[in-house]
Amino acid sequence: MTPYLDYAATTPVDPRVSRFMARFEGPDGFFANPGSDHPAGHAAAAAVDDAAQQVLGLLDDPGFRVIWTSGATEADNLAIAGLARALDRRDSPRRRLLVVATEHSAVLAAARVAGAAGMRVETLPVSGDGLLEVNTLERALDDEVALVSIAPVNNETGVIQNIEPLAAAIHAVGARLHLDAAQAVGHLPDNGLYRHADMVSLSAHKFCGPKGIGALCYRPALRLEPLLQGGGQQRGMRPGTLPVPLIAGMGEALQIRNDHDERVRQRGLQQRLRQHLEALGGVVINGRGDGSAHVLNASFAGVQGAALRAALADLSVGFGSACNSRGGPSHVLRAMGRPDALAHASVRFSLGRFTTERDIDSVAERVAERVRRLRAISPVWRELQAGESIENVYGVTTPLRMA
Amino acid sequence: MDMKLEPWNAESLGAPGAAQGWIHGAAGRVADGCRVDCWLSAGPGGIREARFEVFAGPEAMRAAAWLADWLAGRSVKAAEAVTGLWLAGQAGMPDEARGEGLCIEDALRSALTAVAAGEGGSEI
Repeated sequence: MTPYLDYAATTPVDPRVSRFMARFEGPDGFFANPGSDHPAGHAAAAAVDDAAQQVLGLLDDPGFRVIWTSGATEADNLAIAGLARALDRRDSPRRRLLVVATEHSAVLAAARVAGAAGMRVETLPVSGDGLLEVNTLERALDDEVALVSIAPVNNETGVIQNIEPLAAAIHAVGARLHLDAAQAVGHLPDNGLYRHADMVSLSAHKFCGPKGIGALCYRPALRLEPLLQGGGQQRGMRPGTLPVPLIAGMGEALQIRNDHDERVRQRGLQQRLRQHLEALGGVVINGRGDGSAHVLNASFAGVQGAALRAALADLSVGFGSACNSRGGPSHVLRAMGRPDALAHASVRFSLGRFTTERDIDSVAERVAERVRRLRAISPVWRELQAGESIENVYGVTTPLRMA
Repeated sequence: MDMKLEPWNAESLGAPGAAQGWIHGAAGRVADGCRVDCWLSAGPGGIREARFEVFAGPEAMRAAAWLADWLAGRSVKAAEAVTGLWLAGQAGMPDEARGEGLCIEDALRSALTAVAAGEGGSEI
């Protein structure tokens, strides 16, 4: 088995979480429907309540309500499309929705649905390093803005947005802030980040919990239209019998989420990988040095994207986002001003709790060997080696910093 | 070429060790994701050796390597008859990669034009 460096796509379930979840399976487990008014149902409901407390503990704010969803994609859809439909029903004057250009495809797709519900959707540009500048946001804000959606940690580049001043600007005009925090849990210090938000999307499988469970946390003053119709579970906001083992597993995964020491360990691994790649030369890092420790995104100059994917096909690394795997250049890197050819020749290395130094060295060695070989037959690399600038070769005017 | 070989490892891909005595042509654009350079060593008897540099997908690499092997020992006239469509069929390129076949054809034609113009010091 080759080393796995695609933690941003999904993580393995921590064995401690698996053991915990096993308590909820089988005839002796807490298998009952938590909506049932009998002792077994009450026991299952208590397990769900315990997990909700873990979520509220993460958010460090008891003022949120928790809606269990299938993951962050559904949570993003409920937050954005659900709010848009509710605003439409109430004929609200707030009809503008702002999304960052580098958001996850779930947010961008939900924004398109919101557009169909009468919202005016606008995209906020980012700087070349992927950051949303406060003044860029401020210029776009007015009293018609209903919602701004921002990912605190970008899923492709690991870029960390400076949420506190952005949130202040949003709330100053009476708008609401949605955080797609799928990549943030365990990767940012628990320093009150979520208190700035009105809605937060979470996904358990991004932090060593089970797949198929997530949550939308929202302020009770917000009105959302449910996406699904059915029974009255979860106050009618998301009908359907609750998957108690998954919910309990998510709660346990939150309990043991990465701490400071683990983040420091991951930063060391990330730096080790970065040193390996930069030693290769001709590498453009897509992101910032102060980004999340679990993601390193690099483009390899002189190498064609499809060839790179083929040459690295035996490595478990990410190309763009696994959630948007149609093969074209990443919309995130395009938004950061990378030319298509360089965006296409990018690799997202994402590491996690079970990644070792040996994994990093092994993957880096194989990447270096394949990239060197592809460059050896590339006329583009020959020209770069002969002194042509990367901007000339790739036909861009924005300066590109190549290590 | 050995079709089981990873195409980027084909011996006939990459620029020649020294450019002297070789004639060069190029086609395609980085922005389109396909740039191919053709290097020909030609003499009175025709093409002695051909090499391709490829910034394109693996199918184009495989096709370029196949064409380089095919061109060795052929006459210039035979080389001039090569088309991207013919190459795509011969090298088994999938439909979606046939545009890259045209890019290889264009690179070969660019080099053959230089051959006809007598550039590079080679005699035909």
